Amino acid sequence: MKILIVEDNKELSQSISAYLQSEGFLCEVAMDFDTADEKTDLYSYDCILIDISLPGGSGLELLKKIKKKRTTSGIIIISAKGSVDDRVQGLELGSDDYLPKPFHLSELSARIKALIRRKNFDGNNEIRLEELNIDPAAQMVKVNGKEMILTKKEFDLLVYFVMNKNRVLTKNSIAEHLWGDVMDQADEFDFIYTHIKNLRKKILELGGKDRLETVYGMGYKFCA
Amino acid sequence: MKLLQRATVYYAGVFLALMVVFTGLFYTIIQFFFLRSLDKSLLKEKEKISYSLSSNLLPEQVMFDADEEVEYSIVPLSTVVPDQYHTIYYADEWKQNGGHEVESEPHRELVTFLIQNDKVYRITIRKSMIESEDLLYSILMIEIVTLLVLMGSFLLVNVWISKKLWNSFYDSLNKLKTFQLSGANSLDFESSSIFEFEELNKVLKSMSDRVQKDYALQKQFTENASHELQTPLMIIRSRVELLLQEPDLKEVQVKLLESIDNACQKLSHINRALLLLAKIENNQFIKSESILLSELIEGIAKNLSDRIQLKSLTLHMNLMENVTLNMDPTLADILVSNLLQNCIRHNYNGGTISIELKERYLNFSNSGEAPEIDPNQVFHRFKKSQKREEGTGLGLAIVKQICDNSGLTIKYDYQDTIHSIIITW
Repeated sequence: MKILIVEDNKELSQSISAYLQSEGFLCEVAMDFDTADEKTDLYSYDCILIDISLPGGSGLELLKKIKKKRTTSGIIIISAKGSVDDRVQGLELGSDDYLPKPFHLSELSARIKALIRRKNFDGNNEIRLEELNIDPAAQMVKVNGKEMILTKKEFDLLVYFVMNKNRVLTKNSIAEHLWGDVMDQADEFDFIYTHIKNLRKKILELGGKDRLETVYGMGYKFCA
Repeated sequence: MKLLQRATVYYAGVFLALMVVFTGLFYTIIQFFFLRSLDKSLLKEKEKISYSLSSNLLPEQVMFDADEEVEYSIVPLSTVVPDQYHTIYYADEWKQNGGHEVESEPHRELVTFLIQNDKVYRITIRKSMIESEDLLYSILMIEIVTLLVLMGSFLLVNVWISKKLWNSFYDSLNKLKTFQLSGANSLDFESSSIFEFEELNKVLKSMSDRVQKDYALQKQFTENASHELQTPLMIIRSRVELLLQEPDLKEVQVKLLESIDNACQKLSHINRALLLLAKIENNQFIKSESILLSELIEGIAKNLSDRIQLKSLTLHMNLMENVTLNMDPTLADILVSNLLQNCIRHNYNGGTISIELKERYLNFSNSGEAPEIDPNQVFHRFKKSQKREEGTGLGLAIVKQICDNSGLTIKYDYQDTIHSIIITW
């Protein structure tokens, strides 16, 4: 899986590529418009991350150019602007997703994986992980072949864990994934705790293994 | 009191005072001339009598006017004094003879002494003043009426002129009243032919332009600052995430990373909230759609249902169907979502939330502890209770800003352990 990161901030692009590489992706970085344009001409990528403000041109321009090349790459716009217009414009121009900065790397990774899955299997694929069978399209989970009834949030939580298996997910990243950009983080940690408790209980009831590990109270890890 | 009213009152007061003084003065002067002419005619009568005496005629044989009376007596020489004039009040004899009560009338009297054939005559000549008195009053009346008419017309003219003069002032005042700092339009006054007003307009224009520019700069600063903070914030956060994935982290290290991550999260929330506020202030949400409120509220309540359940809250919804509101859909979403989240957050476990929607009325109320902050400052930025440090303190400020921009009225109320936020439009 090859990913192109088009981001002019050196440290940020380093962080992103380090994280994604540890997830098993091959990462390349383009720091300006022209390099990115050149790279997309020469190589094909499974996914391209584009920052909107770039030296040498707008990320949206780049998006248009890439779309003209009829690539099959999934495209995710990352932007510090976070404005609705950018989001709408980006999606209209054919990007597959939009992620406002600052985002969690675990969120980015989950989105990339979901995107690649959608592209490759048209969404009609099941995620298999040991005793778990997850069907994202139908929002169904089976444990050892038996159907597990989950609430919407519990399902989202499980998919997020599976997408980031063997990774430490901070409570903040989980909260943002589940509830989006909520204004305050007051009660969220309690809610996450309750959701995780319920999820663990349901998996155990159907004979699954307890894979949800607490990391010194800071976050959780789904071990596989 | 308006300037014009006050000026009119002052003018009228001064006028009335002057009128009283001048009427008194006028009266005295006219009376003085009247008496002089009366005295002259009395003196003439005296000469007539003196003449008739010298022709050996007695005073009563002299012809007098109807309003005159003459009395005489012969007195010793020693009583002779110079001529004396008096004003006396008494009823005429010929009228008294009529038999009924008659009011006494003013008379002018001349007491004089004439010597003829060694006899001293003390002669009193009286002349009724009633006619001259009547004349005097008529003159006074005419004077007063003339003055009043003059005063009235002066005041009217003054009102008319002032209105004309102050016209451009009131024009400027009205423009100032409707002036909005956040608006795109600068203040433009119509030019006035009056120097002072033209100066005033110039000063007002330059001041308002400067203030408007500063305000725009400040808003832009908030937006830019929030903007520029996103990337460094993202770098810190991503570094923390990378560090967390390192194997064999000790608990102390993880705790340190956690506090960095939490601070980042909070900064990021504040940042986004400020950015959102700046955008709302800048009117960047300008779509206007008819929004079906019951549908919107139900959708958001469903989305937040897990939080409501986890806190064992009871949600009562009394939503009138088909109530619509014209506003930006994104803002409507943020508005309702912030209000409901607020109800959940400032509630205790097992508490209640009730949402009531009527025509032009939306009420979010929830059970909760008495507010620690001044109820008037609930909507101020960064106002939050000490107990809840986690919040950004911007949620309700955003709600207020949305209401202000969308022409909604919002107020907060706390009664009998129930917090209510009521929106009307």
